[in-house]
Amino acid sequence: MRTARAWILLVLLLFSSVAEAHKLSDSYLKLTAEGSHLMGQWDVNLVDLDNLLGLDTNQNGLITWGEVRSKRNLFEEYFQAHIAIQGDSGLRTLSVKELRMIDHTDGPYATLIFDAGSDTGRIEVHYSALFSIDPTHRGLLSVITAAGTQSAVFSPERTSQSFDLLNLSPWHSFGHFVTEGIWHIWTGFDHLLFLTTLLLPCVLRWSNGRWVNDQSFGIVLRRITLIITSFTLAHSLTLGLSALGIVHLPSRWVEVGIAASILIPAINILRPFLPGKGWMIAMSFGLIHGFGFANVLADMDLKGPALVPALLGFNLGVEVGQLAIVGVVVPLFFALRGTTFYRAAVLKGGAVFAGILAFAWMVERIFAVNFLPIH
Amino acid sequence: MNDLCTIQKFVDVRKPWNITGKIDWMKSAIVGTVFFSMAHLMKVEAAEGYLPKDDSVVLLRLRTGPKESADFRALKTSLDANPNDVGVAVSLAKLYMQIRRERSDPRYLGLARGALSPWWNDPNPAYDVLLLRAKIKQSEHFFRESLVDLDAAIAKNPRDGQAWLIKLSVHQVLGEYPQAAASILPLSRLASSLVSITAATSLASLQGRSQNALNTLRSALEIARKGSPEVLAWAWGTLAEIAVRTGDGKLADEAFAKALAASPDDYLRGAQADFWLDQNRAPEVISALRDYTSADALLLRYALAEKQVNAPDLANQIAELRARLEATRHRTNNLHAREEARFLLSLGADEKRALELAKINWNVQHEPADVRLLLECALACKDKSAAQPALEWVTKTNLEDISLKPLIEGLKEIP
Repeated sequence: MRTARAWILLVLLLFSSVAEAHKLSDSYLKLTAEGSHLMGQWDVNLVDLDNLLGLDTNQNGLITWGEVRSKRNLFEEYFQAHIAIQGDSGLRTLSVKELRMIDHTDGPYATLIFDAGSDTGRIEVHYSALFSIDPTHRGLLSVITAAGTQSAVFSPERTSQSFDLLNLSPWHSFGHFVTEGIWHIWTGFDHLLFLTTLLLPCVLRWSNGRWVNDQSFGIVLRRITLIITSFTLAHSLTLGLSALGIVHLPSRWVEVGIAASILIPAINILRPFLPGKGWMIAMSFGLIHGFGFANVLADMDLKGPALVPALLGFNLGVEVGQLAIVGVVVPLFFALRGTTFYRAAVLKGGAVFAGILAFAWMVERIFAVNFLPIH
Repeated sequence: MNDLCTIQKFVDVRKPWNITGKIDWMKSAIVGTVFFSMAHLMKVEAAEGYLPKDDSVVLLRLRTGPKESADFRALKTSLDANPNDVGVAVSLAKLYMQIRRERSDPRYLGLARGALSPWWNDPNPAYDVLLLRAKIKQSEHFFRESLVDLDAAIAKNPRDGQAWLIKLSVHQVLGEYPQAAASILPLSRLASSLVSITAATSLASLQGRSQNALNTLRSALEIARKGSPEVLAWAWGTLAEIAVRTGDGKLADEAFAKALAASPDDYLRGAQADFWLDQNRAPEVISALRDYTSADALLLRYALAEKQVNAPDLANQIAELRARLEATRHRTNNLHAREEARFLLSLGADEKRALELAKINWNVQHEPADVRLLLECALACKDKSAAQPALEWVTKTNLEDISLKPLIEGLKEIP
């Protein structure tokens, strides 16, 4: 009988090596620093907690919230015994504020929310939970500060990690984000192409089926200002809304929209349907471009207080970069506007080129293929 | 003067800061947004998580029966008292392995390992520890390390059929067929005939003798009326897999059904789903796996089926799969390489990364599914040279698998 059972176990093992449903044991330790004040939470999978503390007190195969709450003291004791944070002035007192539930991909976790007090910048986190019963357990640590998020993994081989909480004010990174903004618009060829195509006809006027050169510099300047301001307001709005998580659009469709937006000013040059109203195009499509800029910030995974300087800095950078380009391109257009070369080749050729490129980008982005050297 | 008039409609050029009329709403909207967002940010970030409504809310259903729970508690208490008691540790570890299989939950592998920790690095522990260690390592895909322990176990006790069977299966997964074959004779002396025949035909079917293997196993199953449900499930499941590779759909359906009736588990469900997906029988996959999507490997097949029928909530499944893969990103031992590669190839639109994973996976194991994965990814990336190792493997071993033919043809057409 015993051998038969052993065979059964064995066979099952051979068979089931591929179908892993849940995952190996992980816990999540999150520390959030606001200045030098540290808050934290520790999420432990309910199955792990049950193996540690024995949660099913009435042995009915179900774990209820009441059963979890009744083991809170034991849970806290275990927490204090296996997690420690050392600051410059010694071991920090961790005071547990609350017990809650939270869901992760592999099921419900119980979480202890705690306050780790105030101290100066450097901390060392020690973690030794669960390793004695499960050497494959891992403690996943995230330390969130105004400057960003750092992660680390605790294992039986690595039970302590050090961090600099960096008493930097969030504005320290402001300059960094301005640079990011400038860089992003200078390398955002789709944004640049949209702007350029929009600006190409600004130095001329559409009259009786032809582009004519009879605009004074003052008028051209006002027109450009209106276009740029409209574009700026629109993309700042959606950049803000998207970066703050208030509005979310799937990034793939935003990219397609940006490519499509280039077609409009291109068509407007060849068959002007909105003569002199470039600012309307700038404003409406600027909204889509703003979502595109936000994708860059999304990759940086910023939260809370870190987001305001990042957002403002990035936006400022985009404007500065944009103005720099406009400052170069517009005088050039203005100087050339009288020439046939400009009206025929540059204007129309540029529109056609932009249209073709826009169309190609749309195809690339819709079908997720790459065939152009620039994307 | 066209555009100047336009401007004048909105801006009083003598007092440009006095924006009037239509732009008023915009101004207020912008100001409002700014204040709203600042308020949003100034708000102290509430702790994540939730409070259940009351104490009676059920959070989790444990899937062990009362007897197992009782055994488990008794053993655990005993082990806590005497962590160096080999007998208790081995019993607890075996119980953990059984629970692991029932719940498809790999954390129990870790717990089994924990129970054996006093002897984990011991080069010469008790026999039972050695064998369990081999099983755990094999489950964690540490195949070479598992073989070291298996050979030590066999040296200690050559009359334990279990060790021979695990050894055979590990060599088979690695594609080391001669070494696997060397286990057949000892196994046949120590195990039931159904077990030996299943092992032998499984191996033979990978080396060009599929029809022969199929017939032999089929006859063996007809004769072996009795047998434990789990062994029957394994035997029928093996028959089903051979039938799938030879293209005998009717037999595959029958064998899968019999296997699942004998003793259902997620591996069988996944294999059956793959067969149905190849036959474009997505609706059957969806209804069969609907209640099993907590298993990552089965959620993958469910999502692939949804893709076949353009189900509206496919995007949700894809997002869920991504989240689950992300949650295991920190693990160095990627037990999910095959699933992740299939996901990236067919659902995640990242053929390049899928091919990278397929290559990494190929370095570790050479099952027919690994061959197919490498060929599919190489074909998707139009990378003939990446497919070479798999193509050579098929030629060398005479692997008969109808699903590979279109892939091989497709690769031939790449210049």
